[in-house]
Formats: sequence, structure tokens, C-alpha cells
Amino acid sequence: MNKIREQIDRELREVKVSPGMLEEARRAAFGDQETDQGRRGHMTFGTGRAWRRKGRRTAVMAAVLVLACITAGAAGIFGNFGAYFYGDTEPYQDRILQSAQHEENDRFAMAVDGAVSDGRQCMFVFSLQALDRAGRKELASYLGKKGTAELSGDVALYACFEDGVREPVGGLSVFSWDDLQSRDFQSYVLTVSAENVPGGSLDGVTRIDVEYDGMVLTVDPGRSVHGVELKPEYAGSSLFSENDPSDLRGVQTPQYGNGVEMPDASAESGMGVTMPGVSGGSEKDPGMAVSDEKAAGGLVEDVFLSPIGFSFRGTGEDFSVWLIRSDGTLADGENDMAYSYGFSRNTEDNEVTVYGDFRYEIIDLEEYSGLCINGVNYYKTE
Amino acid sequence: MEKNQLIKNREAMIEDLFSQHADPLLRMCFLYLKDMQAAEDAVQETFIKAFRHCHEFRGDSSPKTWLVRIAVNTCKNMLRSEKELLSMEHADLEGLLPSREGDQAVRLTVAGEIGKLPLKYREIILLYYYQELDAKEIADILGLPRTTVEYRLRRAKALLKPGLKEMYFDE
Repeated sequence: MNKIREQIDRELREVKVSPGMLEEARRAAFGDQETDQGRRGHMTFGTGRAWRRKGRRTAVMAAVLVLACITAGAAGIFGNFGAYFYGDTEPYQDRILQSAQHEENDRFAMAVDGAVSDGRQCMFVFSLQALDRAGRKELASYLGKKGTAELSGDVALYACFEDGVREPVGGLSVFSWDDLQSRDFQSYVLTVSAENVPGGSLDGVTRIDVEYDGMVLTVDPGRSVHGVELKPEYAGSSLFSENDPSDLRGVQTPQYGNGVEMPDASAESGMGVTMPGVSGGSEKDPGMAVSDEKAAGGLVEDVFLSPIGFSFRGTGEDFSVWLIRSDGTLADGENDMAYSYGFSRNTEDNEVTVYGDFRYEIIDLEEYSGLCINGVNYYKTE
Repeated sequence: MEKNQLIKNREAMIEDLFSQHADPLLRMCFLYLKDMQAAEDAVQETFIKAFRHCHEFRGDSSPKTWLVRIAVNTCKNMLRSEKELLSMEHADLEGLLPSREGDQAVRLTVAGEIGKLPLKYREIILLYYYQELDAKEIADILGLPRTTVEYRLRRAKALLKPGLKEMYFDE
């Protein structure tokens, strides 16, 4: 037995199950008709408390339900910003811009619960609870086969400026997570990127109005977390073999140019990322991230990393983005970070602005040194 | 073998698991949920599920790993569905232990430091050091790539070391 386990057992020696718990579990599992009586008859320290707690919870839940009915279902739609992070609240606790708000009509209660912004993206949780049959039917219509719900175009966002102008926000990123979806209740993370705001910046936006079913709540888009600019590393920045850029197996034999350690091959399978071959960036022009535009999938510049996501501008079709941890290893989006990409394309010069927002966590920038975009490393400069 | 006999054997397996692992499971759930009563509920729920689904156990993993997987999933579900538990994230573990008359306050060194870790690191440490599972088993239980488990383990150890002064790491 290792020392940590030994010490935990020593420290928590008083934490023991009650001997009756097994019998209680057996009865509960097999639906013994006398279970409840048995539970009461065999109530012991641990088990009894557990069941009393369940009883108390049931009573509390009933009271909450009654209260929810009285208050037209307002209860239960708050706290989802915390739920989104599975209780791992430490990294963002002091960075939430606003407390929860809610509004309701006959059909729905809706809530905005927490917001975080880095000046380029603003994310917040938006929740809906059906209060009547029509509302339930509408929410049910959002549910897909996989259990995730799609708000589609039913929620509208407006950017409000200092001069009173109110403009619709386009290209909204809507993320729903399975755990909080049902016919009666749904919760989403909405991300507004600067690119989608008229004027291309969140700086002049005084508030964002969230409109649904005739109701309006507001979000403060002010900056609550700070990001950093990233610059390319030129010498030896190529990570991947150029022999066969289309072959993902090439990733297994990378050219380690700068001490970056690729995840092992087992983590690569099924990631579905494209790994175009790249050459090193130009040493002559610091504004040029990559010298071989075609191979790299386009020019990349204005690379920005913040606790809630990243962004950069580039030309081309394919971008694969990895976070570089401080120890030099890479975190990939699909498996480690679960970030998503949003693309905003300017049709005039074929330039795209790529936005990624991290899922389920706000990262600590101290733990990361930069981004690897299409095989070129971009590092923090401050 | 008759079906009834098979079920009896499986139930006997659950009884064995209870006698060997129930206390460590409760301690793991306590450190996971940071709530003693919720931990008791979680362990009870774990054994209810174990009884109900013991006939589905195929032996692909060890019975202990199977049981720990049920317990971890139960804890995760409780965290997701019972928001009151989320508010316990920053609670001091020592204040959450059951108090007994005449006892001096329990001093939690290792458990206290583990309790301070964010959940994603805490669960890795609990499974690796306390349940003594390897990275592959942990990856299977948590549904994460093995590389992610290994990274989080390294990170979790780094977070623990200042508080524990490296005295408890065997490596």
C-alpha cells in the first residue's frame, strides 16, 4: 500500500460505512416490499443518516417544487454557470462579470447566469425552463436524437453601443451540453465573438441584450479576463514530417524542432484533425508567421490566447490548433480541452478569423506557453 | 451453472466487495464530494446499482475497478444534479468530518491537501493513489484518453507537492 493511501486511511479512520448499509442496498436493489419498514427497523449511524437525508431532500425538493409553481417556475434555473464547470470553480470564481438574472412569461422562465469576457469573446450561460405545455413543446422541439438541444434561431442577441445604437449580433456560437437538457429545462453556453458584433470589437459595446420569446435580459461584455498576444517561433518550428502531409501517421514521427512533445499515437486515433505539413516561418519578416503559405494552410497572424479561448486571423481552409503546455506537451482540442472552433470568413480577401472557446474550463495561462497552429508554434511574448 | 446459482455467486461477489472496499469507497466519495452525507448516499447508491447490475458484470475489468467506476459515475451524477454540492467545493474538509465527543479535532494533512485540488485533479489522485488504479484503468473509468490522465496526474502531483513537501510520493 502506498504512503498516500495509508495516510488517508489514518486521517479518515472515523469515516466508515455502517454495517447495515449492505442489507439496505440489497433490499433497495431488489424492490423488497418491506424495504422502507426494514430501513426504519435497521437504521444505523451511516445508513440512517443517508436515508434521512434522502427524505429531507425529498421534502426540500417538494417544497422547492411548490415554490417553483407559486413563482411560476423561476427556481432551478440559476447556478448553471457553476454546473457547466462541474464544480471546478476555482479558476473563474473572481472573474464572473455579473450575478444571475431571470425573467419569465407564461410559457418560459429564462436566465442568464454568469458571464466572462476577454475583450474578444464573451461567454455566458443561458437557461430556459418551460412553465406550461406550450413551452414544454417548444423546448422539446429543440432536442436532437443525441440528447443535445439546438436553440436554432429562436434566441436573438443585440449589441448595444454607447450612442444608443442597438444592432443584431450574427454568427452566435451556441453550445448545449447533454447533462442539462430535457423537455422542461435546457441550458446553453452562448459565446459572442468580436467579429460577430457590428464594428468588429466588443470594446464599444455597453451591453448585450439576450432576447427570447419576447423577454430580454442583459449581459455585461466588459473584460474580466486578460489574454496575451502570441508570436511565432521561427527557427525549427516545424513539428511534422513533410514527407506525406496528408498522412496522419506522419504525426507519429514528428520532427521535434523545439522540445515540444507530441501526444502518443494512441491519442491521435480518431481525432479527425488535419495536419498539413509546414515549413518554418520567415526570419526576414516578423509579420509573416509562416513562409510556405500553401503548405501551412494560409498566413496566420494576430494570434491571441486568453483563459476562455483563442483567436487568430488567417487565410486558407484547414487549421489544426493545439495548446502548448508549459512543460512542452500539447493539449488537443478534441480530447484534452474540448474547445470548439468558430470561423468567420471575409469573402473579399478570403481571410478568416478563427475563434476557439474552451469547454468546461477556464484555463490558467501560467500552465500554457502558447498555441501550435498547423504545426507552427506561437508563444507568449509577455 | 443454473441462473439462480450464478446470481447467488454474483451477490456473494458484491458482499465480498463490500467487506473489502466499502470503507475506502466511502472515504473516496467523501473526498470527491466533500460532503459526508452525500458520500454515504453515493456509496449506498453504488451498492444498490452493483446488486442490480451484477449479472451484467462480464469480468472485462476487476470487480474492484467495476465498483469504483460505478461509484465515480454516481458521484459525478450527484455533482451534476445536486447543485448544493457544488457550493461545497471550497469547504474545509476538517470541518466536514463527523465529530465524536471527546475527540480532538482531526488533523488532515494528505486528505486536506487533496481536498483543495480542483475536481479534475482530485479525482485522478484519488483513483491513482487511493484506489491504486493504473492510468489505463483510470482512463477507462473517466472516459478520458490515457495521455490526458497522465498529464493531469503529473499536474496534480505538482499541485500537491508544495503542501505535502514531497514526503508522500513513492517515486
